Amino acid sequence: MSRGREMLLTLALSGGFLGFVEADAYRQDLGMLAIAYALLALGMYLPLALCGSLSLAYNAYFAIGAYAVAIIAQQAPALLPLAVPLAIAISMATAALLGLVTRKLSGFHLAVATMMFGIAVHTWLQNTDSITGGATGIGDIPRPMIFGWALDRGALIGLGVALIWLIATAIARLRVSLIGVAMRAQRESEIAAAASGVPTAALRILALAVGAGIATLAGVLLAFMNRFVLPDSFAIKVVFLVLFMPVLGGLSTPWGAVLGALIVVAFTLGFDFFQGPGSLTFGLLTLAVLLLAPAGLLGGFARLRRRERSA
Amino acid sequence: MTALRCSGIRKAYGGVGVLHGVGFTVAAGEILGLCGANGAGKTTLIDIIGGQQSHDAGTIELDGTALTGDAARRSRAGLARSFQRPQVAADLSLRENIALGLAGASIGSVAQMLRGFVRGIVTGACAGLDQVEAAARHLSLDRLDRRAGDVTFGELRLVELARALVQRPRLIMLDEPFSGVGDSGIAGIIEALRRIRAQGCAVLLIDHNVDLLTKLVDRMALLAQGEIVIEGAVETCLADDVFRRTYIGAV
Repeated sequence: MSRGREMLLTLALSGGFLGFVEADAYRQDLGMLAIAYALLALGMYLPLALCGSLSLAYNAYFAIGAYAVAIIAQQAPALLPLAVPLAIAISMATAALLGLVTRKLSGFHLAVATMMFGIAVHTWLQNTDSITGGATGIGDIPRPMIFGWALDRGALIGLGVALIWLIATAIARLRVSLIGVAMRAQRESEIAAAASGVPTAALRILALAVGAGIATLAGVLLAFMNRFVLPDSFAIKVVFLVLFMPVLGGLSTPWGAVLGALIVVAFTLGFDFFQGPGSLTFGLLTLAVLLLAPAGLLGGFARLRRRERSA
Repeated sequence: MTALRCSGIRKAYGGVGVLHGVGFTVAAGEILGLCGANGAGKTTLIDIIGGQQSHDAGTIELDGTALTGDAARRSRAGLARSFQRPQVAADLSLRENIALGLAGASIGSVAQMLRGFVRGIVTGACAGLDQVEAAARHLSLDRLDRRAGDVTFGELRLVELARALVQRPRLIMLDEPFSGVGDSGIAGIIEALRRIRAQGCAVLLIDHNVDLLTKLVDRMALLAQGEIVIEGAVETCLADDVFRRTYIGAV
């Protein structure tokens, strides 16, 4: 598919999604959860699919976005507009630092260090009552104002969909650019990339930082949507749910991560039938996809189209 | 003008010396053929120059400036190379593998990287593909959309050379560039090396094919027992007893 057609098709699908979820309050809640997961999955996709860097601290970046909004709304409401850039900066700096200290070690160490950090952040949220409100979290978050206009739930969902389209499109374009080529090349042959002058460690840290920044937006949107934050929304189990989204959808395009997020929300919460055994269904579904289409759903779809055309 | 100057390079693996003070030079616009029996330390030597391996003692200069730091930094200082066992990203296309050679010059520093990040999103395309196509055409490499993991060993050597050429290096080091390459590929490599020599690039060439080397190179150096035993014009080397005995005789 050409780049232009992909942009139009995904724009149309995003519009369709928006029309579907805006229908009632329940769908809006599910829609916002799907948006948050899709942003987390996109944030994970960038370092994982392009650089081969597996970070597991995404629940922490998710929490930083949500709690920055909640804490600032509670402690210094006048500074609320600064919450978003501040949260993104903190997440990016944290991701860069975690990447920096593990840069000389193998990818395994990055996964372990980031997972420990994610667990630590969740524990801290639960136990630091004076700042985070402990297990009961923080409530009464006001609606965000943009140019004197309060964003309602529908507008927040529209903003989330727009952000996803912009970020997925940007990552797809980045992927084929020279820096995307360098990222993917160092993933497969660090020797070749280094011999070509690519500062491989710095490139991986950049991808990790930008990915963390994207995941932070998920927390910001969710906090404004729900108007409260609870620590258990940011447990490490979120990361393992999100980890399979790009894999399920397909790693060859960032839209695979978005598709994976939609499937997860639909299967675990969306259909009554799946609500009970949702996680189990999802686990089995992921295994089935990995067996039948190792390149993920979109990858398998692209292969079928190629086969049809050549037949 | 001297492009590469090595002196006193020493390297030992766990107390066993491999290189005992190696020194030689390659001038700008010159092709130096580096010979030596298997295990003489040729690949170790260019790995040390390229920054893929560390060394115990000795200095390396490129265009009069000390060549130090990691491999990426040396590459950006004007050094390009190929590997005895081709190093490519198997899942990327040939085109993308060659384009990798352009990355050092455009995303080598953090500031360049941030600019490249934004430029990549805005343009949605890989910059400099015309240079990639030109380099591939000169080497008779076609169908650049193929995955690097799907092509022959010989074609990977051409991909590596093309990747090195688009770097526009001051020094290019090739480790057995002809092995596994077909006749048209060999002709393409020779033509490419003569062209960059004319442009003032220094070339350090390792190969076992003495016939091919003697036709192509300006000077030769023989590495034996961890030292350069002869360095000079092709005729001088071919006439030398030590050279004949330790190298040609050994093949």
